[in-house]
Amino acid sequence: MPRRQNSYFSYLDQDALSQISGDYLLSPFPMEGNVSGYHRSPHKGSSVEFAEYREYTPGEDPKRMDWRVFARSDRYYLKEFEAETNLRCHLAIDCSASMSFGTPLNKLEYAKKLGATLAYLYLCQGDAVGLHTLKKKKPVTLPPKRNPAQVQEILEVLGPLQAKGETTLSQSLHEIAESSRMRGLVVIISDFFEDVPLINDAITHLRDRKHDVILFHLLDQQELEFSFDRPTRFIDLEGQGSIITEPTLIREEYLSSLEEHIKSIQEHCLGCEASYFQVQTSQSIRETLDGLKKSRRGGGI
Amino acid sequence: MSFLQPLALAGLILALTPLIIHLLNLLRHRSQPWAATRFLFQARKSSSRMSKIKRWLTLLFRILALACLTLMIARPISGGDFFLSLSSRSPEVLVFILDRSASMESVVELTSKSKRQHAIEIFQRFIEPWPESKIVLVESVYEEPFFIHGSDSLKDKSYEHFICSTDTAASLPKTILKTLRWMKESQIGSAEILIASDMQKSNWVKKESADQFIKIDQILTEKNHLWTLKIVPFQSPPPYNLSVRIDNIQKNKENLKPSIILNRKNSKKPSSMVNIETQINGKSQSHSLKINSNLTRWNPELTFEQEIEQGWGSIQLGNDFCNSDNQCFFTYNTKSIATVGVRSSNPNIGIILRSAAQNKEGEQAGLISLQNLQESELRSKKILIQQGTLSLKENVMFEKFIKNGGTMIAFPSEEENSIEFSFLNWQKLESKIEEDSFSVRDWAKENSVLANFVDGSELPLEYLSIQKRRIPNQGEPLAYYQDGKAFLSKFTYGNGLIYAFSTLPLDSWSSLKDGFILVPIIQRIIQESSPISTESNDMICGSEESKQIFEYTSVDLPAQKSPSINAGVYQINGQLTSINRPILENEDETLSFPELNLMLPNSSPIQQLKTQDTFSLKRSEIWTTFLFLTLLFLLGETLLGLPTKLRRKN
Repeated sequence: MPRRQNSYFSYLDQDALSQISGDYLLSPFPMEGNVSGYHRSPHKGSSVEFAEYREYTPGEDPKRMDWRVFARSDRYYLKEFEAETNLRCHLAIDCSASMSFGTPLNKLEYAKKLGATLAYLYLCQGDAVGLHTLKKKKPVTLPPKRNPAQVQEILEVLGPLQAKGETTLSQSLHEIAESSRMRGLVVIISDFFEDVPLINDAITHLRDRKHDVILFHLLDQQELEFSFDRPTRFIDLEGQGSIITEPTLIREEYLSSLEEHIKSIQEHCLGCEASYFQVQTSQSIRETLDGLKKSRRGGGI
Repeated sequence: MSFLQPLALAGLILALTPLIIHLLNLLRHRSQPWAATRFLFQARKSSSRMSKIKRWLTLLFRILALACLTLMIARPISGGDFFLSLSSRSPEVLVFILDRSASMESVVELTSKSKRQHAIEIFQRFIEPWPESKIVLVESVYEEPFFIHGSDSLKDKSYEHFICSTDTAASLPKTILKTLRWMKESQIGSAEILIASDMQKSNWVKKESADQFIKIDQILTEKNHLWTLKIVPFQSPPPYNLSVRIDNIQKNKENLKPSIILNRKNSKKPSSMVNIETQINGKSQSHSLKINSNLTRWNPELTFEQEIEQGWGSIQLGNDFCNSDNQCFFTYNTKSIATVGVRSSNPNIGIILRSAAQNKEGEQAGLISLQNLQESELRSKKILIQQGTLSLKENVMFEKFIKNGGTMIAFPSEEENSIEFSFLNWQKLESKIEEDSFSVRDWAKENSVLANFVDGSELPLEYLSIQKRRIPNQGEPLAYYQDGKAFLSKFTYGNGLIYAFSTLPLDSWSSLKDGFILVPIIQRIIQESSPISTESNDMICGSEESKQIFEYTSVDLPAQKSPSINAGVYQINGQLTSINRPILENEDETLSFPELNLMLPNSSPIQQLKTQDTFSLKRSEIWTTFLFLTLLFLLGETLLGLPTKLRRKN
């Protein structure tokens, strides 16, 4: 039975795909995969990359013995090569109500596009991609699969997704860290409007589990500039009340607080070797992924 | 502080505009769903105190800037020396109203200058800040405003006549009103009016002054904020003062007997010796008198070296804190003793009256015919004594005589129904039996024809026995019966005087015939009406009459004197005339400031300037101050509106 045709394919950014397809997005950390791929593996394998010489232990496969070394030194050494494997990519998309803010696309829509495009790209290079929708009620988890049809699965989950409720970002990240036994890539797409220590703890947890962590910090231009000039009642999207204020009077303090928040996350990411990308919703997906590609092409962070 | 454009002050309401806009903005806020509210809460928490202060300061600065702008438009004028006053626009005219009454010659305590001299100095300091303003001087004698050129010109001799000391009284309400009317006619814009006066009540409160104050009030209300009235009061009385005045004079062949009243004020000693110098026709005599009370009557006998029928004299006291009241003058003329005519229906009464009215040479008073009375008969008389009926024609002649300044002593008719005067009549006859009689209980014992004798003893009016009486209906009673009815009354009619008796000098009527009452009364009336007494040939210095005298010669002093402002003895139209200061100038009663302001209820309260406070005399427009403040507040508001970073950079 053919799959149901849907319009969620629009979440795949054609512009970004056309630019980035063909370039591999490589993880700087060794990954544990099931099949061979393009990422370094913590195990020795049969790739062309020389890893090390190791003394032969009886019982081991004599095929990997380096006879030239034996001829020179009269000792048995095994020549080992790096293994290359695929990775397990966990896309974690924040679905809290605060993600419904932003123009021209709100942050959730942007996250959907970014997530869907990334999923497609990783699937194309043979990696397994899974999805975690981070929300309080009925979170959806798609385990990583390298099946190309996984894109369809992911799009079907992303498509109807709505930004609702309070954020459960740090808690959900802890759960991802606990549930993923094999090291993989965790891509977090969120506005990170949670207490910095909680976020940092979650990132540290993921890193402790040897995951490669990428943070896409989505922010709207209005949030960054706060260019209001009239008395305004700001209503919290996550239901934390409202505040009537003269924006010009608190602008300075607001921008300072936001800057401090961003800086704290950035510094923590730098410290624990997680990749941090600040993304404005007005940016194109291609632009965002260009940044990622540049940092990942050489395997750097 | 006052304002030249007070209507503009209504604009102060506009100063609240920033506050209203602020409140409206708060009401008209828009709603914005927001994701990053946690940072807003943080921002407000961290900056709430500072931002609140900043916000209210900004609002305050805006309100103050607008308020100052409004005040600036209202053209404020400082009441005194305003420390921020950057400009001082001069008033168009500076008016100096100088009280030149005799009492202004008393010396200001701790100085050797009179109040008048002190007032002139204050005015010279007062006009210093406004060299461009025109100066107008109005003094209380001539009451004519005239321009002077700068404060130095007050030292010129040409102005001396208008600021020198005088022996006059003043009518300050009249002078002020005259000045204000002149200013109004001259269309004077802004003016500062400075009045210097000792606030002596007699110079401020007169019969006609109530009406004048109303008119002054109207003009000042009309010219509110354009014309300001300030007073430099010199209310303190002199520390010690002795004044002199002549009550009356009696003349014998050998000497003059003036009755002099000495009034001592603020003396700490119960008794003191006073040196008095008297002059009779230029010949001086010195006297020493011990004064034991504050009011002393002195009756010296001043002898002639050579008897002159017409002459003059003066009484001079030693110097004290007010010299203007230390001198008084008198004249005498033995030639012109008042001639008396007697007319009576009853010959017996006629004889008694003629005898009572005889002159000092012992000649009886003339008899006036009962039948066919001619006007020429009356013309030669100064005093008429009338009793009995008269015809209508005679009534008209008598009326004319009195209106022209004659004096009449009138007695009632014996018969009730007889024709009497049209201007004087008596009540019905009242009688008592012989054992009982009417008696006089009370009478005016001072300053009247019934006054006590010089030695202080009273007229024996209480010994009069009266069986019949007819009470005069007109006049002010000088003596009363026991039942309060008038025994003798007096009233003025035209320019003349009428004395009306209530009984007759007849045995059947009263003991008046005995003469112990009748003679002194008639003789006193004759004396009062004779030019020998100081009052008849005297003038009051500064009176309208004295101002009309243009040809005169000073007799008592060869110095340049004028009857309109200086007391003294003058030869006027061949007659010796003594001119004295008004008696009311000796009084100490002053008008207080609240009383004065009560008389001007609608206009702005008159400012009182202390004599020693020269700085508070300045008055200037201070709009530049408010311009400066407006700019200052706007600058403050702008600085508060700058972002913190920019301010830090700056």
